[in-house]
Amino acid sequence: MNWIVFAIAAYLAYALQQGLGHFWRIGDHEPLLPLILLVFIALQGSASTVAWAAILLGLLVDIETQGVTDLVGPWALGFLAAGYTLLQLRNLLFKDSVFTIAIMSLVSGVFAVLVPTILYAMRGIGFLTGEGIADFSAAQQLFDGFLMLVYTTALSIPVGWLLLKSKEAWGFGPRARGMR
Amino acid sequence: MSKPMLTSRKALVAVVGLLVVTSLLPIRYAKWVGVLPTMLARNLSVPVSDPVSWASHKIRPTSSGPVEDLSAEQWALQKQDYDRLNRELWAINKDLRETLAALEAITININPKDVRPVEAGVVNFNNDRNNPVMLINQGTRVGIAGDDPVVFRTNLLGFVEREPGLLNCNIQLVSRPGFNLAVILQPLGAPPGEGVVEDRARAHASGQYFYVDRSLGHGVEPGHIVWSNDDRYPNAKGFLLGRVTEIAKHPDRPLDTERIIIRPDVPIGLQGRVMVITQRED
Repeated sequence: MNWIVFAIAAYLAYALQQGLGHFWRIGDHEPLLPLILLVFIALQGSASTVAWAAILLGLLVDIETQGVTDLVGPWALGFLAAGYTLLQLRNLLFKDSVFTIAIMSLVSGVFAVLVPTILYAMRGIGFLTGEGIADFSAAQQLFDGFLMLVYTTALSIPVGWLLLKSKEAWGFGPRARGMR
Repeated sequence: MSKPMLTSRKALVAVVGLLVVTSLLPIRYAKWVGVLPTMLARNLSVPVSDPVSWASHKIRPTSSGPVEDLSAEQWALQKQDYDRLNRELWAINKDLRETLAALEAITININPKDVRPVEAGVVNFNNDRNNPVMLINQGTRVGIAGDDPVVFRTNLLGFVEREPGLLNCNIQLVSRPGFNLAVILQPLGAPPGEGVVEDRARAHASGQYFYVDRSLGHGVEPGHIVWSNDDRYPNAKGFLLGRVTEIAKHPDRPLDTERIIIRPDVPIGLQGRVMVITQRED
C-alpha cells in the first residue's frame, strides 16, 4: 500500500470528521469515517498493512473523539480488533463491492466499539486503575455505538464507492488466493 | 536482513502493549499522553476542517435553542417562579456573606476543649425593651448552667439566667438597659494584640445599641469589631458584641469625650436556633 495515499486519506477522514460534525450529526450520533477507510484497506491490503493502518486510524479516533475520557488507546485497540476480524472474513467476501464495505463496516464496527467499551468499563476495577469514569454506562455506550454504526453503514455506500474508484492510486499489491 | 519496522511483528506487539497501558492509565497521566498528538492533529487539520465546518454551519445553521410556545399566563407564572428562585438565591448569598464576615471577625479566646456547645431553639421572646428575655427549649438536663453565654454564629446574644430549669431556661439578653461588659475594640482582620482598645461597653436604654465613652484620640474608627473579654463570663470571651458604626460626641462632655456606638451584627432575640456555650464537665 502506498502510505502517502493512506496519510492523505487519513488526514481527510480526520479533518472531515472534525469539520462535518455539526452538519451530519443526528441527535448525538455521527458516522465514523476512519472505520470505512479501515474496511476498505482491510479488504485490499496485506495483514501487516491492515494492522498498522488500524492502529493509526484508531489513534485518530482516540484523539478526535475524546468524548468519554482523554484516553489514547481504546479506539486504536478497537480498530485493531476490527481489522483482525476483517482479515479473518475477507476471503469469503467480494472485496470490490461497495456493499461488502457497507456490511463489513457494521460487522467489524461491532468489535471496534466493543473493545473501547470494555476498556472503559475495566477502569472501574479496583486492582487495575480503580478509577471508574463518572456517569459511564457500558449499555448506553454500546447502544450509542450501535446507532453510530448504522449511520456509518449508510454513509459507507457513497464513501466506499469513492474509495473503490481510487483503488489504483493506493497501490495495493496483488493478493494471491487465500493469502492474508 | 532485518525486517522493516512496519512489518515487524515484535514492533506490533510492543505497540499493542503500549496501547493497553495507555488505555488503562489513570486519567491524570493519560491527559499528558494525549495532549501533544491531539494538539498536533487539530492544528494540522485546520486548513481543511475549518472551511468545511464553516460551510456546514452555513448549510445547517446552529439552532438557537428550543423555542417555547408560552401563553402570557404561563410566561407570567414562569417569571414568578424565576423571581422566587432569584430571591431565595439572593437570601442564601446574603446569609453566606454574613457568615463569611462573621468568620473573618471571629477571635478565638476560649479553648474548645473546655467548652461544649449545645444547640437550642428559641420558643419565646418577650420583646420587652426594659427586660428583654428569650426562652429556649434546653435546660440543666443537657448541662446548661447559670451565666452560660448564648450565641448565634459568632454573635453574643445573652446569658442563661442564674437558676435555669431542667428542660428550658430564660436568657437575659445583652441588650437590656444598663448591662455592661468588658470588651476589646479592634480593627477587623488585625493581628492579635494590634490596635487593641480595652474598655467596658454598656447597653443603651433603647436596647438598640451599645456604647463606649472614650477621651479624644482613642483611635477607634467605624468598622472596628467589638468582642467580649469579660472575666465574669470566661466562656463568652471572643464572641462578637457588634461593630463600631459611628463615633458621636458625648452628650454631656462634648469637648473632651466621644461616644463610640456599637451595633450588633444580628438582631438580638430574633434568632430561631442558638448555641449555648456550656462548660465541659469531663
